[in-house]
Amino acid sequence: MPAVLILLTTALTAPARADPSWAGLRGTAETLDAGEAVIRLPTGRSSLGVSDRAEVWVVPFELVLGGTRVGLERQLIDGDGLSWSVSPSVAEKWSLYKTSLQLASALSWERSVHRVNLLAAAELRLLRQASFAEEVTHTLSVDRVHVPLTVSYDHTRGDTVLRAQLMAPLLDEGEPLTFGVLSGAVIHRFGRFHLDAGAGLLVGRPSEHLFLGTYEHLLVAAYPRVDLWLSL
Amino acid sequence: MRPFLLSALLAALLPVSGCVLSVRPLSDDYSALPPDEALDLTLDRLASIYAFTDWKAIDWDDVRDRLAPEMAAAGGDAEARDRVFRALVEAMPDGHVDLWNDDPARDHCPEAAGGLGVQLSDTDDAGIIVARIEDSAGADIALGDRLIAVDGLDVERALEATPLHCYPIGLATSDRRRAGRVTLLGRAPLGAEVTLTLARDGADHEVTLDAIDDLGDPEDAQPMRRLLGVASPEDRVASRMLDGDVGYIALGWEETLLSERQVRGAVEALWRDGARRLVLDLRDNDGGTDQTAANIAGIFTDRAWFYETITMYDRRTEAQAVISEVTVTPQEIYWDLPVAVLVNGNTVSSGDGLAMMLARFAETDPDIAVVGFEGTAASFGSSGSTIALPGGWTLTYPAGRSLDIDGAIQLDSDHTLEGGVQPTHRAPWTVESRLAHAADPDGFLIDYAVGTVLGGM
Repeated sequence: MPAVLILLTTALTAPARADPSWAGLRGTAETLDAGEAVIRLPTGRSSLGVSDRAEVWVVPFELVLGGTRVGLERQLIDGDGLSWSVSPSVAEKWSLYKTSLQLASALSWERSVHRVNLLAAAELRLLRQASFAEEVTHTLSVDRVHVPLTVSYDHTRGDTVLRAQLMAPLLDEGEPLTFGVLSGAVIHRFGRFHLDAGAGLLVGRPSEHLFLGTYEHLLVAAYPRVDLWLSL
Repeated sequence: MRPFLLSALLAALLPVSGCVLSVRPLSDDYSALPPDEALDLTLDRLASIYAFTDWKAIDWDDVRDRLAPEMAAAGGDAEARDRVFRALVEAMPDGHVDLWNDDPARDHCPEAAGGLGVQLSDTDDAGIIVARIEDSAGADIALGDRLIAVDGLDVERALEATPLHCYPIGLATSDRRRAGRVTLLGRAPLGAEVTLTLARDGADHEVTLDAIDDLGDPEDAQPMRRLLGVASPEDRVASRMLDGDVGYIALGWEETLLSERQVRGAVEALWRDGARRLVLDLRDNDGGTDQTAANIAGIFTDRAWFYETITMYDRRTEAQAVISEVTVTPQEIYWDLPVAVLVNGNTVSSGDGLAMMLARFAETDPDIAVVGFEGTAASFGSSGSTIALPGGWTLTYPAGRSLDIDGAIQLDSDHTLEGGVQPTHRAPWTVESRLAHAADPDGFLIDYAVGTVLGGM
C-alpha cells in the first residue's frame, strides 16, 4: 500500500510547473499571501490567503472529532527571521453533538537553512448530551481539554525540507505528557506541488484515539501528503 | 523523484508496516499437510501463541500425548480425524475457540447427529427434567418428568459420557460445560435407540427413543450449532416496543460504527415511541469491535470508565504486547432510565465486555440490572487468529487478552473454569420457569425481566 501511494503521488507531481514558493508549508507561522491557496490531499488543511498576513482554512474531515474544522490564521509578527501567528478555529462533529474550540499559536525562527517551529494549541471539546429520562434534557459538558505542544526543526536543502518533529501534550484530560509522537518527514517541492512523506511513532496513551477495526494503529502515518499550491 | 528521496521514503515506511503487521491476528494454513503433521504444527502454534495457556493451565504436552496417537490411529478415516480436531476444541475451554467447516454436512458431529425428540433442562428443585417434547418422541413422556438414568447410567455418569467434543466452540465455564452436556443428553448417533428412565409422581418408568434426523432446513447454514444452542443470532440489531412503556433492543453484535449508530437510533426512536423502560437483549451476542462495544456502553452512563487494555501476540518479541487501552466515555445520548440487560452463555467476546460494563454500572446505578439463567461465555480475548486444517476445517483462536485496570486478565475463565459476567438477577432454575422458558425461549426471559426488575408491564 505505501508503495502504491508513493507511485500515485509521484504521478501527481509529474505535470507540475516550477515555482519557487514554499507557500503554506504547515507547521510554521508563515501565512499565504492574498490570493494564494493550498489544497492538501488526502488529509490536512486547505488554506486561502485573504490578505498578506491572514488566511482562512478548512479541514474537511478531522478524523478524531469526526467533523469539519474551519479557522483563521493571522500573522502578528514577521521580520528578522522571526514570525508569529495565531489561529482560532472551530469544529463541529457531523452528528452535531460535539463542538471543538481551538486556539493555536505558531512561532517560527529561521536562519539560513535552519528553521525551528513551536506550535502550541489549546483545544476545548464540548459535548452536547441528550439525556433520556421522563423528559429529554440537553446538557453541555466538557468532553476533552487538550493542549498539545509541537516542536519541529526544518533543514532546507534546495527543493527539499527535512523535518524532525516531536509532539506531546502539556495537558490531556488533566494529565501532562501522557503520550508523544515523534516523526520525521521529507517535504519536497515539485513546483506547485509539495510532497510530504514520512512516518511517526506514537508512544504512550492519548485520552482519545482513533480505533480502526479491531486494533488501534500504533503509528501515526498520515503520509504521504500532497500540497497543491495555487495562485488565484 | 531522486533515488535518495525514494529510498528515504521506503526506509521510513518499512518499519511502519513491520510494527503494524507484527501484532495482527495470525493466519496459518496447514490444510495441505497430512493430518498428523497438521495436528503437530497446530499444537506447536497454540502452545506458543494461544493467549490463555497459563491462565487456563492447559498442558499442551498432555494434549499432544492424547491426540497424536488418536490421529495416527485414524488413518484414512475422515470421521475419526474430524473427531481429533473436535477433541482439540474440547481441550480449550474458551468461547473464542471455534472449529468450522464450509461443508455443513461435515460440520455435523456424528455422535450427536440424531435428536431424541426431547429437550432436557437443569433445575435446582428437581434435577434434570423434560422441558420440551417434540411430536417425534411419541412415547410416554410428559413435561416435567425427572430424568433418573440414560441407558442404565445414573444422571451424573450419563452427563460425563456425553460427547462434549461435538460442541464446535470451546465451553469456557463449568456451568456452560454442564449445560452443554445436558443438551447432549437429548442427542445420540443417528438411528441409535436410547432408553431414558424417568420419574413422575413418585414412580419410575422407562421409555426408549430413536435418534432421528432433526437437522431441519437444508438451507440452514449452521443446523448443528442451532440444535446445540450455539448458533449466531439472525438479528444483528432489532428493536420494537413491548407492552406499555417498555422498549426492546436485541443486539447481536457490536460491529463498527454501523451498529453503534443503529443502537443510538433505536434508543432515540423507542423513547419517541413512549419507551421509558428498556430491555437490552445481549443473548447470543457474538461480539464485534471493542471500541464499538465501549461506545454502546457509554449510552448508559454519564461518566468515563476504564474498559480494558488489549494485548496481542507480537511476532517480533514472541510475547504479548499492549495494543491499546479502551475507555467508556459518555456518548451523545444518555439513557437515564431503567434498563434490564439480558445475557446467556452465548454472550461472548465484546458482547461479554459490554455485559461486563453494564454489570459494573449496575453496582452503583439501581436503574440497571443484568438478567439471565446463567453467566456469559467468559471469553473476552482478542479473537481472529486462524489455522486452516485438512478436511476443510478452520480453527479460530485468540492470540490476545483483555486486561483490567490492574493489568490482570478479565472475564476469561481461569483454570477453575470460573469467569464471565454473572446476572445480578438470576432467573430461577425451577421446574416452572424452565418449562416456561422451553415453551417460549425468546419471550420468557424478556417477560421475567420486565416483571422482576422493570416493575411489570
